[in-house]
Amino acid sequence: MTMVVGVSPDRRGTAELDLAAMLARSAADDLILCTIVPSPWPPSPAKVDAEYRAELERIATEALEVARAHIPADIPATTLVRPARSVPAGLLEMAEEHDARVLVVGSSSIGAFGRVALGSVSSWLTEGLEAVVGYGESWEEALEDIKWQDGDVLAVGSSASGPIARVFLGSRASKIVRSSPVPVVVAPRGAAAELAGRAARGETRA
Amino acid sequence: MASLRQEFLRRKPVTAMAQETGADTGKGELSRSIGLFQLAAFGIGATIGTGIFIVLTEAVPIGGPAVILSFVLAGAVAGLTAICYAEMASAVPVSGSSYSYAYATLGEGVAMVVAACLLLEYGVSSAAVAVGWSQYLNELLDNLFGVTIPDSLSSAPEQGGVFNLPAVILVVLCSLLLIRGASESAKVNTVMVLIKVGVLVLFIVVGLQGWNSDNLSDFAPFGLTGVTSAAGIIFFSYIGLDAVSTAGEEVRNPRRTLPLAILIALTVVTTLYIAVALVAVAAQPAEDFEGQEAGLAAILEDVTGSTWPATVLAAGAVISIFSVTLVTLYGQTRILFAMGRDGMVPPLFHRLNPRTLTPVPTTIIVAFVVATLAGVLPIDFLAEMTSIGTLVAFLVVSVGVIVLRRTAPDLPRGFRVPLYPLTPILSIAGCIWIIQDLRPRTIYVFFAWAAVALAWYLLYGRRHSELGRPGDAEDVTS
Repeated sequence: MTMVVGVSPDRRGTAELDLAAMLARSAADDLILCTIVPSPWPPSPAKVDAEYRAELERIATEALEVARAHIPADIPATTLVRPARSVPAGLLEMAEEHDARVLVVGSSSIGAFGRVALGSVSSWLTEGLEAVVGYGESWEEALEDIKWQDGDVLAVGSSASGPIARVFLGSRASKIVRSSPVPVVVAPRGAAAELAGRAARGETRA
Repeated sequence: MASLRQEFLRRKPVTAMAQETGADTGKGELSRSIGLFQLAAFGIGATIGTGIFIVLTEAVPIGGPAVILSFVLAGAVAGLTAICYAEMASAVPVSGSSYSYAYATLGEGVAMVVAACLLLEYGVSSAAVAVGWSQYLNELLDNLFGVTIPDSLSSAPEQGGVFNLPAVILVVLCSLLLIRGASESAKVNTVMVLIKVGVLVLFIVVGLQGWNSDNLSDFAPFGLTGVTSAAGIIFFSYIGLDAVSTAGEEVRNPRRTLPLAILIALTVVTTLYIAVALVAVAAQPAEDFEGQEAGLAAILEDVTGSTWPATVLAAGAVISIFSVTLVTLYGQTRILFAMGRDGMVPPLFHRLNPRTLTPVPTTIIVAFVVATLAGVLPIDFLAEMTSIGTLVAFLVVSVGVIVLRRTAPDLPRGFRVPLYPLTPILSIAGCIWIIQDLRPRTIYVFFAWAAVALAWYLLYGRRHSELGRPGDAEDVTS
């Protein structure tokens, strides 16, 4: 099985790579490191933008090389530059094409330090989901209450039965995600259950 | 230290271009997937609608009903130049615009002049199109809500206004979209083309009601000169045809497909244009075109006496011209990007926002300049400047075909012009013929602009050229 990892071309942060490496190792999955670049525009074979496109390709390839170097060498990972109309759209296409069961993206850099912040990409990807974890006065308290350990992740399942593209996150779930001090896995129900099962068997501990 | 002559003539090695764009690593390779019909359809879509909505108002007072012949002349020259363009594009397949082709074949100095032409073909044409958009927007607002933006805020000083606000707003809106990294799906693009063709067909069908042969009786009041002068303005409406030429790499059997696709696209577009022009000149006397805003919509309104056909046409124009403005602004920013990378303009121009990967500073600068032009200059001047810029760029490309056949006869070319050397020579002659009948003011301004570009090259470009950096030249040719 494969996991698609969205690698940002600005090469800020490596959280998503660490998470991806951990998930891949525990699930024995292959990684596809993918950088999305703006697709040729207008949609035509004309190429007034040939030099610009070449530069995009170069930047993306460089970011992917750095990302690949960050992932332990024993984890199988391939890299790919993909032009798409938007980053979320491109990542979802990738996930569908490669039948990926997990799509890993980084948290936005604008959030409070140590907390997950959904950037434009991740919030688009994770709208409208149903929560599975937590007890307490507020989601934040509930999450603080958990004795997180190194390598823990928060898995949230979507109620949607559709493919990965149909994962949506509501206001409640998005609060949970924002309050999480650990990486969050947002997954369609089937995949979430499987992850939870693995967690129960102790497999996700690195 | 290289002499000025050496600097002016230094050419960017084709191999260097291939390395930069990754073409030789296989990543830049595109599969040959485009057939004849697809390519012709693409050419039609890229060409139609850039100018036909606005050129008649400017061209008919100069040429009279004989503008119909101007369309044939402009179309023939556009076709010849497009075929020459195709050979250049196939010889330097990794680069994107005639600036890069000139850099690879005719040297740095000429490339700078071509770049100045491209600023007219893209930047100034964005301004011209935006002014046209403002006219149709006013027509639409008037018909739908009975309100119009006052003249002082919707026309250039020369035409009695102060500032063309809608045109400025359009440019700013498009630039914001480009900064965000907007893109248009192939589907939306197709819809835009269908809207353009649709409203032109609507014009022809409805406008026929107003047919009056008397209006055609004085067919060519200004003779042949009138026809060629008008062709200079009309050339503006064939911009976009060259997009077919740069698709060579992706085309199956380019030797046969490219010229045929150009011919088919040209025939369809010219036929449609001539039909529009014929209906328009038969509907009202030539003098009435002078100063007529949102020309096609205004004619429909006069002919039918009702407002709905004009409203539909204006709505179609407002929607489709918006997308044309986006396309030309996009092209301008990407050409400046290539120039920034070569060191011909400051490095600011090839800076990309790390998150959106769009050239934000370039887009802001282009938006500012284009919005200013659109705000204060009249449309006829903008259209003529666009035409002369495009014509000179094509002229240089046609010369480049001949030069390259002599200097690099063995360079692999995916496409060679048929009937060499007749085709490039006719192309050159056609461009010169149209250029020399443009208004003197346009020609003077063009020469001044080219001189500014050359001065810029002498003071900045030649000193900052990436090609001139010691060591680089060896690196790229090894």
